[in-house]
Amino acid sequence: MFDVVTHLPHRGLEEWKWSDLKSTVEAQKPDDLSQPMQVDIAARDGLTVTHTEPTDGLDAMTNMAAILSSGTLTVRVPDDVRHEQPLKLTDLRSGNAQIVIEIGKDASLSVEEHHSADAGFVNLDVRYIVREGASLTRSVVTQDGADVIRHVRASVTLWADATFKQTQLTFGSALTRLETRVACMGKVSVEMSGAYLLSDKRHADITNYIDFATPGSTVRDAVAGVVTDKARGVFQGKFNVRRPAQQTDAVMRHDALMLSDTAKINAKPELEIYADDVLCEHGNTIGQLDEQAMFYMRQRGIPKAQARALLIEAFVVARLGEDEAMVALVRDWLDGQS
Amino acid sequence: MLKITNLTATVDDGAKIILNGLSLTVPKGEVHAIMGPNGAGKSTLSYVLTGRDGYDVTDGTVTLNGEDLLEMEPEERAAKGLFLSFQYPLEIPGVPTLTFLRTAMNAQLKARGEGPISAPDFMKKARAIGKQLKMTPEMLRRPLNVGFSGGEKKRMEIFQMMMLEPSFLVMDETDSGLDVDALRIVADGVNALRSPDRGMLIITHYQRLLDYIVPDAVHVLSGGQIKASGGADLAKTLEKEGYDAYV
Ligand SMILES: Nc1ncnc2c1ncn2[C@@H]1O[C@H](COP(=O)(O)OP(=O)(O)O)[C@@H](O)[C@H]1O
Ligand SMILES: [Mg+2]
Repeated sequence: MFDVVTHLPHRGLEEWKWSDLKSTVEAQKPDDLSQPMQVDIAARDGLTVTHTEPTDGLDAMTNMAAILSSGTLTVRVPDDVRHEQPLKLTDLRSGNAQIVIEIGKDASLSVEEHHSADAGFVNLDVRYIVREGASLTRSVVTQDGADVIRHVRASVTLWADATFKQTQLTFGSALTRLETRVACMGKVSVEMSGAYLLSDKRHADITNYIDFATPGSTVRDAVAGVVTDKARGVFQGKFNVRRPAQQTDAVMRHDALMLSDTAKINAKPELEIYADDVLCEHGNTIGQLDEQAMFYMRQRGIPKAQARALLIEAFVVARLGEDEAMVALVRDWLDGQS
Repeated sequence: MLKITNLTATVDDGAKIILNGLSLTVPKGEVHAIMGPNGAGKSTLSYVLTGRDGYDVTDGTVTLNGEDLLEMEPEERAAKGLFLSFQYPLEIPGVPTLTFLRTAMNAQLKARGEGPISAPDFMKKARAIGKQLKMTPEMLRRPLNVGFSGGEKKRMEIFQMMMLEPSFLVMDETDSGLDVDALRIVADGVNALRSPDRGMLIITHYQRLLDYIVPDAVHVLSGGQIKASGGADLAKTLEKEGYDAYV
């Protein structure tokens, strides 16, 4: 039997130094660590679903998804087909899976990956291939129980004139890592936003790597964090701008609020730039709620808890975006805190 | 009626005394002005009255209509009708002005045991007062005070004050940053709020505002105490002679 645990990434690896998956698995001992995940995706008009060969890759997580799943599912949208209805990948809650989603030339698809599990281990490897002129909108929400271990890796390959828009919202778990790896293989446009809201001893990690191979791409990546109690938030972001990727216009931001002294945030925004004519920026702030703004609101009669909630909501929405369903989830979380 | 007796307040854990035995009474229906040099403790008085953190009251009492203010949280004081027009109004990014104000109004109503104002009634009132203060609908749609000039922020304070109809209002240097036209608009708004049930404390460094809002009494605050009191003409004397006699 393949001993999965020994292969798991751990804090000795630079990319995993703040999210020690191996020791979390050792502590939680999930019994579905080596299990396949049950994934059903129904074909519909303009969308085919087939079983294909697994693709192994970068590390143990992708390899586990490839080897331990019950076969890779490949979803294809033919050229020029523009879907109005989103593809829903909901409640993937136990075991390993690999899914490939390919969007043909000038086609479009939005995918909703909304998950909530009570316990257990989830390792999901999703490979998106977005062909020339196509567009992908991806929305990810995780609302897991405190003991869940969830790793989601999306590898997104964007061909010329593709657009990619992603919004991620997570409330963490024993360990949640949402990793997005984007390869820009032509002049593309990318807008990524994300937020983690964490209480108790929850842990969430948003890791975004963006690789620029060709000239002229535009990328905006903004992540907001809110941590309280003994929670821990991790943000890792990297732009790798290769020599041919001139006129890259890329901005990465991580802004977080620490609501308690016992919470933790680790952030590492990085730029690695080999092209000389680019506009790349990164910013990172970790702060507290603005006490002066709090007093101002209370002076107008707004009770303390409500003033806090309003300020935090505004902080998150400014970065995450105004998607109504997500804003409602942020509000629910805030209601649960006061 | 606002009654301040022997109020003493410190900062830095008692290391620095800022208000030093200040006593002052503003009866219902009256408008009193407090004037004083920079650093006299005028803004500190406004913050101690409204309950901002960071100030320790080491002696004295403050009551509003007989109720002990110092025991209350800032939001409770607001619900009792105490309003402060800030010397430096805050920007609240991401919170639209009218959302903020409606939340505040309903919170105050709730604290007083009353039901919320309906959305149409609220909007009607906001439009009417906005028009009176010559505010554009665009200003009211923006996040609170974000991107406003100093003068616009002051006007926004008066807008909130007229919407909330407080029973006691404190204005801290509301005139600074206002040009003559804006000053007149603001003064008209304040004068419209004068009523037998409402008290006002107008803090100012210059007497300019008092040409438009004529006070019932003027007090000189210096070194954390009221050093002199008089009628409206005291402001004119101070304007001419400065505060040298009181420091
Ligand atoms: N939080 C504080 N910490 C330390 N010193 C303060 C604080 N607030 C006010 N002061 C000091 O108290 C004095 C009075 O300030 P303030 O009330 O702002 O005066 P005014 O409004 O009359 O100009 C000043 O010397 C000021 O520096
Ligand atoms: Mg002042």
